[in-house]
Amino acid sequence: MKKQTSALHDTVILVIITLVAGVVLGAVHDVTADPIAKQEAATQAAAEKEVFSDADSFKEVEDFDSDAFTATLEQQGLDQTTVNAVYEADDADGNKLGYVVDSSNNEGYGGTVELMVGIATGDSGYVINGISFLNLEETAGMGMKAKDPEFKDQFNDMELGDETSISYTKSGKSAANEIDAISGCTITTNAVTKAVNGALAAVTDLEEG
Amino acid sequence: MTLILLAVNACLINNVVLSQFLGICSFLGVSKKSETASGMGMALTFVLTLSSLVCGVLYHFLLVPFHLEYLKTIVFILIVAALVQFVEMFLKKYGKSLYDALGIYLPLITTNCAVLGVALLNVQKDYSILTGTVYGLATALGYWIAIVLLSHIREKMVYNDVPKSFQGFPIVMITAALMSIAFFGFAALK
Amino acid sequence: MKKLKKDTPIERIWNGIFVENPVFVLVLGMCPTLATTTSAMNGIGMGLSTTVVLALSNLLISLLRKIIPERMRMPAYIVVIASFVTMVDFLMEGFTPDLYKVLGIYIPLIVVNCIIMGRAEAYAGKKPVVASFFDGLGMGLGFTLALFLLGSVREIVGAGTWLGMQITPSGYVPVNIFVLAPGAFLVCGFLVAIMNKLKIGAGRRPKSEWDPTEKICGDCYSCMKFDVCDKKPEGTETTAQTIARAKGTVAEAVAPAAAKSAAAAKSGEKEAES
Repeated sequence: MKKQTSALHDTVILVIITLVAGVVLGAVHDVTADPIAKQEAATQAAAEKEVFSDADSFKEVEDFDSDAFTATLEQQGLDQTTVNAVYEADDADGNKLGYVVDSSNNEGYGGTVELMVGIATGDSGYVINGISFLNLEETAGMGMKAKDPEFKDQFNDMELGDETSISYTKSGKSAANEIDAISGCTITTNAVTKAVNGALAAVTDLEEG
Repeated sequence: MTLILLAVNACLINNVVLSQFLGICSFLGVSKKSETASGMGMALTFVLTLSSLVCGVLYHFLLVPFHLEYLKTIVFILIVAALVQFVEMFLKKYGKSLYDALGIYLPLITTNCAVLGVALLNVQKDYSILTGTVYGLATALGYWIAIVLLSHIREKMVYNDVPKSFQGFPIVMITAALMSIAFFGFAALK
Repeated sequence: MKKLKKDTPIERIWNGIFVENPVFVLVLGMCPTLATTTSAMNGIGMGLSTTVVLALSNLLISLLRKIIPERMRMPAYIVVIASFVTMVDFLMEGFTPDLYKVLGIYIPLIVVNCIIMGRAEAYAGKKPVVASFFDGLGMGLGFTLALFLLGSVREIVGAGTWLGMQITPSGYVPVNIFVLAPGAFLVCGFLVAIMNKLKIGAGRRPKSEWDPTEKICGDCYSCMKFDVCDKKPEGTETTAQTIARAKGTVAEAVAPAAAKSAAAAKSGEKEAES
């Protein structure tokens, strides 16, 4: 057994340990902040590229008000859906090809479903180029199947024509703007659909200006 | 309305023990008798609600303004430890009856992963202080429900003829597995 | 098995992996064990992150054991462990983002993993630096092995893959429930039952006396302040006390000096307690 020491002595030592820990953590934070930021930027860039491979550069639409738009979506019946950011996708000459939208829906089975959608805006209506998940906390083997090509690739080159929203079906898709639900995971499918529709609404809003 | 949905979700659908695996130690440890299980549930509800509130306040008014978010883990665990000590001292002095009911469980709670887990989840999910506190309360109620149910099953299980290899720990795990499957049914509430 | 010399690196690692495997023998740290073993790879990732924290915090606590005042052990240990966990957290976020995303909240929760605090209290706070480091390493590897085993079973049965490779014939329909929450409880229960049957791991203990679920007096924290805690439920007997009564092996293995010093015996209790 150690000798009993005074309270002051004990306190001083504890304070020193805590201070040192704090300083060391600060240092480590500084050192790793850079790789973490790079990593995030890389993830972002990869997701943008993945959902809009034709585009050359992306720039954020500055005057897009995420909070105000969430209220608008709710009025349109798309509750629990947030459009976090909209990026304009440009080709090498700076001509606008469409948008990449970062949107999320809170009604996933395990929490928020956040995804990036690439939407090309042309004369013949919207074309969804693809989706990429930024956050998916669904059950492994169930809702996580949203990440599998079988489900996700339905969004590749999806020509909407005159439609400005999509829907899901459980009985085999019959229209261009329909997707097949993941069997047994309607909740996840619903969340994904809503997030994509939020993105489409945001694009419509910007296009009609 | 959103808060009620959140509470139902945290309490039943994504039950803290049966689907998120937080607080397993005490879930298995003090579920032998329904009385102690209930006491533990009550004590945890008390501490978890309070700690979600205190951690939320400190995070939003101290860590965020000074850009010290990266210290959250270390700060939260110290807050929880200090809070439990403080609650214990306070109850001992001013709330004798409550202390008699909860006292013995308080020291067991400090490193119940559910307490730190909820504090961290509140930050991760960007909950406001109010939402976070409600989430904490609902999570603790979910824990309470689960541990009381398990303790009642275990009290009955004493009379069962369990295969020798499964006696003790394994059979409790299998009971928990069946409860976890049963809780899947609540998904329909969504 | 030949007796290994006490407190040497090899003995410590052997001890951590087999003699006192934290999951299957001591039944510690169940939260991450159950939560992160949806696949073998996740199990390894969680196990190795815990190993790093365990080895380093053991090392530092052992270095500081003469400086840290007796009464201030708990807060000091918590600070040391939380610091290492936060570092691992940053490093993983920066360099292994995919794994970081999967393990999520369970990385910061390493702080409250009973194994780490248990080892700090029972071993690193009293023993020399090198032995403590290898004790942490051994315990961590034992933990990793258990998680890998659990993750493998769940992944193979529940998804038909192992380490991401398809290994079951195409006709096999994966039993999804094994990667879901109930599967974790189920597989863990069955693995311990098998060990009981084969009399390895937990099964080596005197079975009639051994039931961790009823003998531990509550939560991980109880192990940390066990000797100062007078709030234990009445009549609680710790696993270590039970084993000591039945002349088991664990208490001796944990605290070699158990017979000589009452303090060391206490540490054995705390250890098995947690």
